[in-house]
Amino acid sequence: MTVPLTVHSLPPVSRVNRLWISLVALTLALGIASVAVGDSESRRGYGYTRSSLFFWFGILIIFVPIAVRLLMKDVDRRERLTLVVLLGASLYLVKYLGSPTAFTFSDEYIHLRNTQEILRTHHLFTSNPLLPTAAFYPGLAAITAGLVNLSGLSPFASGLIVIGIARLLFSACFFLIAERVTRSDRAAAGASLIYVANPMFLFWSAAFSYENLALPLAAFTIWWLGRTRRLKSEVPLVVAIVAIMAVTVTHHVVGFALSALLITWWLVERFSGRASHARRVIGLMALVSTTTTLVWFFFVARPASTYLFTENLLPALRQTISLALGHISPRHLYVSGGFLTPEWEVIAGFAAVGVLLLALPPGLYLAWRHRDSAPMVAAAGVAVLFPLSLVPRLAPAGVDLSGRSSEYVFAGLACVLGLLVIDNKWTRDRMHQHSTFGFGVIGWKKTALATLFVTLVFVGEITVGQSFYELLPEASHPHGYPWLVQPDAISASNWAREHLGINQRFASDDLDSFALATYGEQNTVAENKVWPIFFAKSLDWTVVRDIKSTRIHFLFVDRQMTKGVPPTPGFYFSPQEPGAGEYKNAFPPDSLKKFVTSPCIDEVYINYEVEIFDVSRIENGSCVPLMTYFQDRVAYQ
Amino acid sequence: MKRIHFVLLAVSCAVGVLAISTADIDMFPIARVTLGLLIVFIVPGFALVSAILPKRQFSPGEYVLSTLGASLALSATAAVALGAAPVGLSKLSISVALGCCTLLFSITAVVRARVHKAPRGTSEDTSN
Repeated sequence: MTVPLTVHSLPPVSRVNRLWISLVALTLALGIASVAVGDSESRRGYGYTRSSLFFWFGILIIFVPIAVRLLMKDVDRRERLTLVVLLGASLYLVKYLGSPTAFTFSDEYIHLRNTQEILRTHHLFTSNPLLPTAAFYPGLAAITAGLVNLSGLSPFASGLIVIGIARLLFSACFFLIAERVTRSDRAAAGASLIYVANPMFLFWSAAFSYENLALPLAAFTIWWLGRTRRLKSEVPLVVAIVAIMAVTVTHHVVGFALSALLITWWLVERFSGRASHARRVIGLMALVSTTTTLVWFFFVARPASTYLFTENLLPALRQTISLALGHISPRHLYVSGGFLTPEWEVIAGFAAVGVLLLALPPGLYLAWRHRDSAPMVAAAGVAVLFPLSLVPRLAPAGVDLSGRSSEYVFAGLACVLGLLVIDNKWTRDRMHQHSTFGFGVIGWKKTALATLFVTLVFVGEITVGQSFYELLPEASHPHGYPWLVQPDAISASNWAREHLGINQRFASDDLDSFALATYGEQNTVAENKVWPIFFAKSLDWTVVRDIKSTRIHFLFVDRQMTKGVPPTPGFYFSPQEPGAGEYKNAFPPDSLKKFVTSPCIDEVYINYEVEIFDVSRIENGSCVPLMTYFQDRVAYQ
Repeated sequence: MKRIHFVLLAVSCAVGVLAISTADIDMFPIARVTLGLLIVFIVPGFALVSAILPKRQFSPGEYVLSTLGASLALSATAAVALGAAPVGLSKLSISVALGCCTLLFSITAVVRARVHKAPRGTSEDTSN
């Protein structure tokens, strides 16, 4: 089968429709305002049911009008592109409205700490207590620190701008790449809508995190190569090489994904037998990307292999295999921290996954008809991984793997499913006796149907990607154990920076370590080493041993722990602590009393629920707790 | 290359020079923010893309996209390189690095545009 090489051009009559653009702009404004009201209600503590009405209404009127317009026939290509970029920007605003004054996601604190370290020392690779690997991928932190230096803006504002620009870049590049893969701007619009529906897109992909800069840069590299590789010059490769370098120093997984995609692209063209300058360009860039990624990963970012494989990938795969073999029971979906997810959200989540699974076979069939196109073959190869990527979600350690892989899997899936929204006509036999098969969605009624399905997928996948209570900001004074860093912890961290100095060794719970490491600029000790100190019933020799071995000088105690069970991911300090993920009762208050009663421990700070204890006398051995003294004597006798 | 393109390259050069010359000077916040955003997200990429593609091969939209992408990539790479080097990543070093890159690429773009002005028989197919 011969497939035309050019992108489908639109009829010359199609123009940007100002009425639609105005309507979409109006609904976007209303949608964003509605989300802002929902966020505000939630902060005031009005409860999820009431606040979420505003949130979901806003989300729907942002998404639906754009989806309708994007899926319509005879829409100008530039209008589709503009709408896709507008949708990306609007959904970025939704995330921003959830935390408009400071970073609040766990990964955001990690990269904020990286940025602060670069601003303070002017150099890279200083240790990051929150995630040591992140210090070795400093692309995001470095460009943010550069912008802080140049503009005088705060790290928060600079980070928002960097990720915002990256979001715009990604939205446009993804549309243009999908357009080249599917050879239709309408299919590309459908693909963009499906990609936007991936469970990570609304919140995770908008966070100040290194992956969210690297992925747009990788998309830009692919678009640039697709656009310039047939030029009779090697000079355009300079931009691709710079972009590959930027990806390499920004994020490990994106570096690997980009290399794998370029290699696949080259291999498909290699075995389709077309030798050309353009193919050699892809091969050369695949070589550059693979080499730089591997060299950086193994020789510069040395902790990365342990973090990626030993701590994340292997446990997730091991549990997934155990699950498949029936050795462990599957995780209860939509259950988190004792909260009960609204029933309609559970149904929407399953329906979204069901729609995608049902749409995949016809999409793959249409992709098979385009098998002469190397990018489409690569996209189909990625799309078939979608059902497999769902399996780890059922294993407790596989949730992150399943969720984060969706950002990559949906790229292929979206391109394949995008084919379903265009007219698909092909020649049935070689005698040119045409037969038309109606897999494509055409006409008004079918546009409405496609909008309905894509909206269902979008809403359902939001519920898959985020616990329902995390869709809206936390109340200002939460009753139980909070899931966001609280102002009390920030005040205490600021106090610690001003009065104790920076880079003191602190032990704290997982949530407050984010505030301590960023606002306080302290070195928090890994929580999986310190949880026994807090869990011990008394100040016995094991506590003293742990304080000495981890060289902790200060303890950060948040009594909010005693008010409720921890929500996702279900622990106070570490997944290794007793009861992690299965809490029914809050942290026992008695375990925290031991710090107040010991003469070897000095309380240096107290404000509401937060206390800071100085344990340096125990750490340096100048004071021995009484109980330990007797235990030692008993042991000696 | 159209006249507007030369004007934009001249503006890029001006922003590059301004970035270098004001690296050690306290400016009004709004001017500093504007200059900072331009030198990180716009001008280095625009100058680089113009130097690489001296003839008009992209649509205006594609120029905007490649300007953003190339600027982001170039700024991130430059910031990492400075941070890893003994000189360190500071206001002065990043201003000089991005400003010099912009100047260099802008001049290259103008020179290459002049060289390519004479018609040649090169055939180009940018389709996939």
